[in-house]
Amino acid sequence: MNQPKENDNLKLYDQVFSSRLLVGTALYPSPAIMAEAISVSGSEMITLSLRRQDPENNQGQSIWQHIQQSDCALLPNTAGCHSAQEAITLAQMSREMFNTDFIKLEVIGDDYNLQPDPFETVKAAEILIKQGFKVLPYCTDDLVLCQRLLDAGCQVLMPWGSPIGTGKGLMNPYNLQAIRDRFPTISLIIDAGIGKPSQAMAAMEMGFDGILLNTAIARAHSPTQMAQAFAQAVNGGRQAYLAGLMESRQTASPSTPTLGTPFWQQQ
Amino acid sequence: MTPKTTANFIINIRINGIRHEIEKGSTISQALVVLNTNTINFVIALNQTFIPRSQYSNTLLHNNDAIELLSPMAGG
Repeated sequence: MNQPKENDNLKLYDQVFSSRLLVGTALYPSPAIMAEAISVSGSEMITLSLRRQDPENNQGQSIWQHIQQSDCALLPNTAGCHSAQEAITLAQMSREMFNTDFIKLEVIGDDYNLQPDPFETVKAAEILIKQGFKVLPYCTDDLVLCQRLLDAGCQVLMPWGSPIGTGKGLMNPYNLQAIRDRFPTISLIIDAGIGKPSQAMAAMEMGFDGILLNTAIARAHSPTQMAQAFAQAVNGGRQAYLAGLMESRQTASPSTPTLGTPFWQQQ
Repeated sequence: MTPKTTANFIINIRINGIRHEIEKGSTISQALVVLNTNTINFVIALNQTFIPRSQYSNTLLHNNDAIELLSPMAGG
């Protein structure tokens, strides 16, 4: 059984967070709704990016103003990078812009399903760790890749549930459980593919330490309501994991005591 | 002797993929002033290398240099 800790916090490198839900800032109907959803989610770390400014669209500035007003820690990403060098440069730029060593490392290897490039991700992680970054790598659910990222110095891993934006949930629970079992002390966050609160809860019940998601909240009819649903699901899953789930079995077993069953007659 | 035409004093650079002409010998700081870049919060990479803000005033630009000028944006 997993003993509940007095202060059950999410540890990411040298920082602790009471919320185990990390939320993205993209795709919301408006910056105000984004801010409200993040607040309701209870998230203490939010993701954001760096992009070329579009003179025709000032939404980036508005979003940035809302983000600056929140108390959340910032987790800039390297979304859109296709090589280790691009990701390293963008991480360095992010560190100056956002004044944080945290970086969500994304190096895409396939544009169709946005699958991360394992080789370039490891290469970038090795260099960024040496430069003092706190790297949270977005990776596939490959056990050996996870080991290589740990070898590079990552203290947190973020395997995908399924491809970004698909909402397909935990595509390969076997692989994810293997990663959890093999790295019991590493902070593991499911990043990408979570579409429903029940999927987030399932991951937390498996013992994952946190959930990072964006689209499922931002694209809901009511992002604020969905943010609350995810917060409850993540918390519920965590409590269930700590409480210790019963083992499933093949045959039925009555929950009501059989001793003293009425209407029973000795033959 | 080479005539001092305008062409000798102008270089081409790209900022976020768009071509601009600036004076030869300009630094990043000078280019940002001349181009009246309408951005407050930004960071820069020059030819895919990060340039810290403290080096804008002493980083010379050369012909065909490519600047990425990036600002905060939503992200997942």
